[in-house]
Amino acid sequence: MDTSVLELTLPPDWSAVRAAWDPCRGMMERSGLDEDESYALAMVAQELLENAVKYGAVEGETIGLSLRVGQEDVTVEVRSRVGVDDAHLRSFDRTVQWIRGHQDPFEAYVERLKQTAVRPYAPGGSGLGLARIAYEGRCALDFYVDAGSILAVSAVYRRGGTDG
Amino acid sequence: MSEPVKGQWAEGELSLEARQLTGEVRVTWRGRSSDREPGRFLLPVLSQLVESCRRSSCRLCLDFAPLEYMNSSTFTPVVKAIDEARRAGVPIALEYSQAKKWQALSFSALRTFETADGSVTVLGR
Repeated sequence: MDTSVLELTLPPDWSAVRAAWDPCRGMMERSGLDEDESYALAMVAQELLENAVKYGAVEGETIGLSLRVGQEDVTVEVRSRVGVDDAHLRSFDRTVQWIRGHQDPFEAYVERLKQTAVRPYAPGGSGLGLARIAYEGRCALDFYVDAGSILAVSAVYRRGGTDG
Repeated sequence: MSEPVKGQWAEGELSLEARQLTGEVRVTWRGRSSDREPGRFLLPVLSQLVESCRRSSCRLCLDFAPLEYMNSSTFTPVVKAIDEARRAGVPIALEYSQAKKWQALSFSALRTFETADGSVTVLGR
């Protein structure tokens, strides 16, 4: 089977996140993913795009989203510009490493939920979305920053993997 | 005697409908919760419902089964509502659809907040 690819360029605003839902789901279903897989991976794309709009996007710049559905795996990648010394990037790095440190992403997700419960309410920055990507989306998270200060965050789902 | 609790609230693609049943206020969530800051809308509504249940000595049941989607930011006000209900002595139940895989995964994780005395329950149906 050939790899299917969807590339979208989005403005850094909230309505663009929602608008990406249908193209993502549609492309994944057409590529042979079942309903639950395509839903979960559309959720992954939404969470990554929300992060990019909240923390990464610079006004006037765009956000790049790519979906690649291959025979063995599916990759969701979101690209957005970050500052040179970006506090969010450091926090993001810590959260990704923290999630990777858990053998079972379920444990990371539950721990984040518990932390959310005891913290004073503040919108965003909980890391719950990234933990959800790992647990509910069953994706491995990775990222890099290129020479042009573009942060590329990828979530890779291995097809045919077992739960847990 | 307290007035029966009922009401409807909507924000974006999300709507909540509260109905008074015997010994319970049931709040049905419909649509999609994908606001940038869902807590701004949800926290006051849920706080009001917890207070109404406290005054009328009712259980609060949040029924998510019809909900199509919720972003991770929506879990924060839900978790805060559990905490607020627990502090107010209001039994709270979260119901979800086991037929929807995303709900089965997300809400089974919320079982971490269940209490042995049954004052916080998370039920798939």
